[in-house]
Amino acid sequence: MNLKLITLSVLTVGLAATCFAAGPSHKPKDLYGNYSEKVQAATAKMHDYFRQHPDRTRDSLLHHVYSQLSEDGQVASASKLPQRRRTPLSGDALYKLGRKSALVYAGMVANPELKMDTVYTNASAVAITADGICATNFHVVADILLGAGLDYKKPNEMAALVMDYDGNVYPVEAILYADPVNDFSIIKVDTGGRKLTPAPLRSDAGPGTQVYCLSNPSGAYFHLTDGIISNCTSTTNERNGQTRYVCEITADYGRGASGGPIFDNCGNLVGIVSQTYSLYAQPEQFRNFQMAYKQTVPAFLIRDCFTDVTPSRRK
Amino acid sequence: MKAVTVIATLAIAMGCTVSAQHQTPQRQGGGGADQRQRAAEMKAQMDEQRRAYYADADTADYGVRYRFRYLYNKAQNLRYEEDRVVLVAPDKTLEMSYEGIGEVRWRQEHPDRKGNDPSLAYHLTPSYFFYYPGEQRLAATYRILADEFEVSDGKVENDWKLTEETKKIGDYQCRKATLDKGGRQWTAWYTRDLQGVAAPEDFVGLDGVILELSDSDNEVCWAFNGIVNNTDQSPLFILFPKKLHRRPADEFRKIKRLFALSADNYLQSSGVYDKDKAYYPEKYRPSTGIDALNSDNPIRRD
Repeated sequence: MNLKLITLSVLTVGLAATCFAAGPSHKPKDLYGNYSEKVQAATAKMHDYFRQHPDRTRDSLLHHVYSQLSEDGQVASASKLPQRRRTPLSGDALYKLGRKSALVYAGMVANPELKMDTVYTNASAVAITADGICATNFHVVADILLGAGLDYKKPNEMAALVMDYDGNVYPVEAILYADPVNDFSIIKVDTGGRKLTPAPLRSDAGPGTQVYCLSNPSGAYFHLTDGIISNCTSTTNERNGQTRYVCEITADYGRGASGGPIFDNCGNLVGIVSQTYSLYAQPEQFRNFQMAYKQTVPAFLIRDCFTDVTPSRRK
Repeated sequence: MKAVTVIATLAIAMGCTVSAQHQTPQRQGGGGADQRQRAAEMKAQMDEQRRAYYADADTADYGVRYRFRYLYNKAQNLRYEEDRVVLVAPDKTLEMSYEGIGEVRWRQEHPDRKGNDPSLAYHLTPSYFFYYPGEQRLAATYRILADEFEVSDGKVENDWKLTEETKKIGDYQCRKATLDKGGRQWTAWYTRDLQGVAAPEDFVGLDGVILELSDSDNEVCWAFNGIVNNTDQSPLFILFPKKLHRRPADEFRKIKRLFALSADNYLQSSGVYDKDKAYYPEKYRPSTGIDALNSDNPIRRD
């Protein structure tokens, strides 16, 4: 009797654990995200935000951006970073995990003629800490930083924001660090008390590592591609002594993917999208396209911003 | 008009490297005759704007050209060179980069030649030092695109120690003077054979024209590189900015560095070129200047 009860209990617990591990079953249509709807809804959410925080406009961001910008690259304690993931994941499991950290970078613009405001998406980003520190490219936020330097605001620009997979919007409230040489920036978004799902950083991924790119190329939101790290290079410009680190990958991406996360097969962040470089057989005429190098920002540069000891590479 | 020029230059400079952010498509140009006509109109308009810009400017009697040399990264033994000039007028001087003047003159002298002036280092720092000897006043400004920033403005007194030591630099008899400044020991060779006073940056205060200035570690040096004559074709204008922006020093340091390190395509996509389409004279290339350097050996050690 006792043996039967114990056996039954073990079987029940085992079955429950199996069901939990498999996760809730989805209807086929659940796999098909209506991202346009989420982007459209973002405008109303931003209006709500401005109603609650009328002082947090793009003007206020431009006004304070240089006082909040770090010069030495230190933005926060390393204790804020999540632990590295060690378990290899299947492609679909990685997608479900990675999309929690992947973000759409967007702006909000007023259209006085139509008397309406619109959120427009133009790049990508990734959550680094739960409290709203994210990474994207320098060139994504260059309009804010360089514009603020010259007291210039793009006409009708109202706000910069990121949007998560569930359609939640998080306005950019500060730029904590910017590295134009390596094309990355660390930004802070207002989470409104929510916790983001940060991607753990992996600094030691080298050539041959399997990678996944989860970005938003040209309106294809949360678009997953895969490949490997094909090369890791550093180049010092002898005219100014600045060193640029590049992690080249074979996973596809295109415009709109800037700042998007590059994950390893465990879901750790190994880099963020930066740019592409096209190779032509006749480069002078841009004819006979052969291949495109996908150049990404290595995660160790982002990791350095959270080291409590000043990195030796920065002066 | 200026923006069109800038876009064309940047398009060439960018080559086939593109960021992965959305870009707005650019319109394609028209036929050859139209383009030539447009180019001629643009040049005429720029000449007119240039005349208007310099309408109230003073003209220097001559300029002293230096080759500035600086060991900026000792760990990697990296050196920087820039052509600088001091424009000398009776009551004021202006120290600035020579590249803009040099380029214009080389094009005038070699209208049919392609390529660049081989005598130029092709580094440009958009820093300007206006000195008024009568008041011992030095005003330092910095230009980012068409915006002028005030860096400092006040009386400068350097405690030069004069010596009897002499040497000849070119055709000019020079005397030696020394100065402790910014954590370095400086030696200046100055002459009274030239009219007026002239000095690199804020090393002012000697009764003559400095032709050579270097530190005792041989890491920083302004070396005499010839006299620049004022000509009708290429006048040496001294024009103090009509409008100056003022920013806290720590903020301005960050602004200067970001602009210096930003590639031209980043500047272009940021939209800042749209801010002011008015004429501004010398080329803006801070990414080739001293503020872009990864330095472990600052000139000012204090």
